[in-house]
Amino acid sequence: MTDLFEKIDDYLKGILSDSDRKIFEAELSHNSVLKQAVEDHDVVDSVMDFLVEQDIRSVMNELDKVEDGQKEEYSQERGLPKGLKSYLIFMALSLGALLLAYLFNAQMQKRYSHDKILTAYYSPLTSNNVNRSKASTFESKIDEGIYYYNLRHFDKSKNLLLIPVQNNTDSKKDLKNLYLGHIYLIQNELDSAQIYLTKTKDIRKNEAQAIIYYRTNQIDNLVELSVNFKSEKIDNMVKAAKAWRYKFNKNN
Amino acid sequence: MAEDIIKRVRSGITERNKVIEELYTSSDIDKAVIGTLIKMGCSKEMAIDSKTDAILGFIKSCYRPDFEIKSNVTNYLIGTAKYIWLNRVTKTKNVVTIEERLTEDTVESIEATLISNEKKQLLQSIISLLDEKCQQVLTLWASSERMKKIAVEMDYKSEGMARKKKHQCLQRLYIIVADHPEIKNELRSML
Repeated sequence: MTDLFEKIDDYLKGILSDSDRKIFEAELSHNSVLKQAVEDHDVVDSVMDFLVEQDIRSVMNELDKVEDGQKEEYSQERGLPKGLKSYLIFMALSLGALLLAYLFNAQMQKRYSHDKILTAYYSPLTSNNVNRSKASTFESKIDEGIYYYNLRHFDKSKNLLLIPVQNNTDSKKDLKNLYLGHIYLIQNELDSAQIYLTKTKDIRKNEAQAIIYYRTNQIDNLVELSVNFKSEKIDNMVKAAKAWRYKFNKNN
Repeated sequence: MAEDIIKRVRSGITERNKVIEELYTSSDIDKAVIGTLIKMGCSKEMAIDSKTDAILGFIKSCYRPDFEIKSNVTNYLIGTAKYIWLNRVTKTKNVVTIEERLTEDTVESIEATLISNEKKQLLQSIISLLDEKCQQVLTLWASSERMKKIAVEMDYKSEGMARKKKHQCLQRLYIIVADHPEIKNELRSML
């Protein structure tokens, strides 16, 4: 089997022997698929280059994880066990929070005990404020998650976006589900991607959904989606899927 | 010495990954590269990033048949990391003058070696249209892995099967590229 990529590469670099070049050019003159491949070779070359770069980065990320693990073990050997450390920090923070709540409550009672109506009005407002502040914490996690998504730090982004999900909050529901769907798609966890994309109403999910259909060979669903949602990218995917199916059927 | 390292990278993924590990975890290289950048006023975080990208650029350059370095790998990495950092600084802040940049021992075509973030997104959108197996086969093949090794790694019955799969995946990639003129054109505008 001739190696398409290498043959085109050698041809474009001008390093094919005279006889090979003549054969290649003869083929090129009547083979439109080959002609298209020669035209697109620079882009395919960039894709291959990117695949290698991603692979090298993944090796480096693994090395970082090993190093982080070693650092953690080292700090555990030298200091308090990690569990005990977290427990002490948690206890200190809890005590601090209790003390603050007590002081705040005492202050409030002192200020408003003379007026029951005002107290009754104040309580729900306080509680709303607490909820709002919790919500804004989750919202900030979502914003931060999106920020890291844009930086392509997908694991970090996913961890942040999962915090509000695990806490069953409705904060920016569509947005967080959309981004989680995209992250899982990028990480090739198609089942999880599907779960989150189903939960969001954001129309930006459609292209991601189309990719899932494309990658799982659900061509009929892909076609249906392209009918319901107009997008050049989805249309191209439909074309590519059909071309691939045609080619596959022809080869077999 | 440098020649040996380049040969090891080209010999296949296992050796290449060993080289990455040696370079990436070497405290001598850390001291030399990060130390030099910090002395020049670079932040530690940026120095680490530049070192990482310098190693990445070096490994990728090893795949170019005409690639060779005259000094040793550490000096090459220092030069590359400096170049990467100065480039980033000038792009963001205009702190370093052109004269300063010109006095740096420039490392040829390192900019072309590293892929920009904008380009990464476009390439990712093409790759996401390939199934995982194809991504793996093409990555192994592009990293100069031998077909025999690809067959073992991917659990294919034979070398011939691996070759066939690689061929099919490449064809699929060409079709995807041909069917996405908008991505293609945008990528070309960045080449």
